[in-house]
This record gives sequence, C-alpha cells and structure tokens, in this order.
Amino acid sequence: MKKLILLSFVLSTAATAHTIKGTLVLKGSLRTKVYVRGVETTCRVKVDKVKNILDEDSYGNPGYNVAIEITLDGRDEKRKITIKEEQKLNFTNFFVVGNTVEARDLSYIANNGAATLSIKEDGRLSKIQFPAQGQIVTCSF
Amino acid sequence: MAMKLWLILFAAIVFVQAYARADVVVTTVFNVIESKKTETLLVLSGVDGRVYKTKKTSEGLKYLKALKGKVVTLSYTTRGEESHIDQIRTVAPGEVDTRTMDLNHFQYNQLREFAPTELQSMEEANNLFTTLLNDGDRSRSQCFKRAHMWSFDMWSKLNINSQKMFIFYTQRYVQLEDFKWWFHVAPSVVVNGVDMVMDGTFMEKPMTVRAWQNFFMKSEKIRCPMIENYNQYADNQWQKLCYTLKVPMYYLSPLDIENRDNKNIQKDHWVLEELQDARRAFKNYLDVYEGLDTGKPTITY
Repeated sequence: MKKLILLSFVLSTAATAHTIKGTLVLKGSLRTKVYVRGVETTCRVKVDKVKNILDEDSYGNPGYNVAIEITLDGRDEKRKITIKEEQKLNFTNFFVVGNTVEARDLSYIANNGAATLSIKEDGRLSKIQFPAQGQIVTCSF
Repeated sequence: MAMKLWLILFAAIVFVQAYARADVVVTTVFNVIESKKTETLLVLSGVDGRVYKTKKTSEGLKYLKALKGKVVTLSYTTRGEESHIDQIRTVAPGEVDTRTMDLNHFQYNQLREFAPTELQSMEEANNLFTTLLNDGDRSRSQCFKRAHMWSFDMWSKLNINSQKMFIFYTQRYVQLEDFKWWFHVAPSVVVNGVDMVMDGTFMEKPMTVRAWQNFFMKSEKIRCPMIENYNQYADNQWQKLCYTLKVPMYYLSPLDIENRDNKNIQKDHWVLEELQDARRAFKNYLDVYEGLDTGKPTITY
C-alpha cells in the first residue's frame, strides 16, 4: 500500500513537471556593467521580438522564439583597450534532452547553442551569457 | 387531340400527387406572424422548427394567435420546400401526453437530454454538407451566426442534432501572432463515432477536428486540447495556443458557454430572438428564413 502511494506521488509529480506556465519574456531594454578583458563595459540587452514556435515539445507544450540584440561598450583609456561588440541572437526555450524535446519556462538557449538566457518568474531578463571578445561574458540584471 | 389533352391532364395529376405530400404533426404553436411578402400567415412549430403557411384572413390570424403556446394537431401538405396547413386544432384532453412528449424546442425542458445524431457514413455527411446555405460572402457575417443557422437547418429540415465545435485562441496566440480572432466555431456531426466539422465557409467538405484545427492554426504540429469547461480556457491563457470545446447545437456564442459553466444556465432550446439575428448571416435571409421572426426589432447578439 505504501509503495502504491509512493508510486502515485512520483508519477503525478513527473506529469506536472512537464507542464510549464508559458511565462512570456517581456520586451524592452536593460543595461548593466560587466568587466570584459578587464575593461568596465556597459552591457545593453534589448528583447526585440517574442514569437510562438508553432510546434510543441514532447509533452505538448508550445515554445517561444526570442530575438535579442546585445551590445558591449567600454573603453580603458590607460591601456588603450576598446570593447565594442554587437550581436543579434535568436533564442528558444526548447531543449533537447536525450531523445525528447523539453520546453522550459525560465531558461533559453541560442539557436547557435553558444549563448544562454534566464528570465525571472515575471518574464524580466535575469541573466544572459554569451561568448565575446575571447571570453564568456555574463550580464546579470 | 382530346386524347392528348387527357394524357396531359393525367400526367399533371400524377405530378401534383408526387410533388405534394400530406402529413400530420403534433406540436406547440410557438409563433404566428403575417408574411410581409405574400398574403400568408406563418406558423412556427415548436416540435420541429418548421414554418407552416396558410392563407391570410383576419379570422385565421385571430384563430392562430389564440393557439400560441398551445399543443395542436397540424395537418399539412408539402409542396416543394413549403408546407401548407390543411387543418390545425388544439388536441383533445387525453389525446396526447404532453408530459412525456417533447413538443417545444424553443422552451427549456429539464427532461430533455441532448444526444447528437449519429450518421452512418461519410457519404451521408458529405451530402449533408452540400445542403449548408452558403452565399460565399464571409465578410458580411460572423462564424457563430452562420454556424447557428446551419445547425438549426440540420435540425429543422433533416432532424439531425448537431453540436458546435469551438476553437478558442489564447491570449498567447492572439497577442504574439497579431491575430484578429479569439474564437471560431462551426457545427459538427458524429459519423461512426467520429466528430466531423461542417464548416461551410472555409472548407469544401466535412473535416476531422484535427484537420480543421490544423487549418486554422496554420500548423499541423499544434494541438488544441479538448476541454469540458470554459474556465479551462479562460484561466490558462499562456500554457497553450488554443483549446477546443464542444457543446450542443443550441449554444450560440462563447457567452452561452461561460454562463453555463459559471452561472449554471443550461441551454437546451432554440431562442427565436437569436435566430432572428443569426439569419442575417446570409444575403437572402428574408426569403429563406421569413418565419424566424418575433415581430419585434432584431436584437444583435
């Protein structure tokens, strides 16, 4: 009887884990300071477009495509180093896990696989990580 | 020459006999109006939604109006598309058990249990589809009014109980796809246990629910889960792109479904005011649906 109750709990938990809220990424711009190659740099991130992926993951959840513009702007006068970077990336919240596709509420990955994005429960950007200037840059908001 | 005339007369009699068909119905007189086009009186029958006609006289009008709401035996002759009253009288006491007979589908009846008609073949469904009125101008009407008239026609002309299949688009879909609808509806019938949607405006034949959804979602990869309650849609606007909900043919619009699920207002009957408005979905509605008139100004739903 106890085993049956435990099995039912595990199964129900597993089922609800595959249903997501569908949190919408909010459009808009954010900026923060980061150090890139030792240079204090302004990281600006603009969420440009958010669209539905007209497809479902392995559990019936639809996904999102998010278009992001990132700019890095910094200058170290002493060392004469200029940081100037502009990237346009498309992100999706569909992740391949083994032989399934899984939509996630708060995590995104760039279509090129090199960058990741996190959002908060209210849809605002939390963190973006991407390769630039020979390092992995993390902009947190 | 005389022989020729007799033959013509004989052929005419045979033709008229074949063309005209006499029958009797026990029904409730739901409404009586005067035709605006011809010198006839139009009687709307509660048991079958059909309009029975008779020659207009002042005595006849007075007599028929007195029968409104009463159970009657109505003898009629059908000529082509029209049914003409031969005789109409109230039923004698004990003649009909009005407690067990469902004689007025324009009135709520708590004993009425809706059951969709089961068609036996796709051929039957295809033939039914061709009877749907379609003047080809979708810009003049809204889907829920067209669907309502198609359902009413299937019931009143062919005694087929259809259902209404709704697709509800969520806020997620409407907002991000910049889509102008929030729902679409068409009647559906059951064919060998399978729901087939009869969308006479956008389709050319009956379609499975999935195929119909795929067309309107512009994708074969999106499922619109079938829900039982309106709040499953209203409360979950971001988890899915769409939902499907099926209701009996009497439900005109999403508001009816919301009232059912939030206020327990069940709809198991036709509402003449709604039909009077919905009939305007078609260009020639005054010719086709003249009898569906309350006699009062039309309320827009």
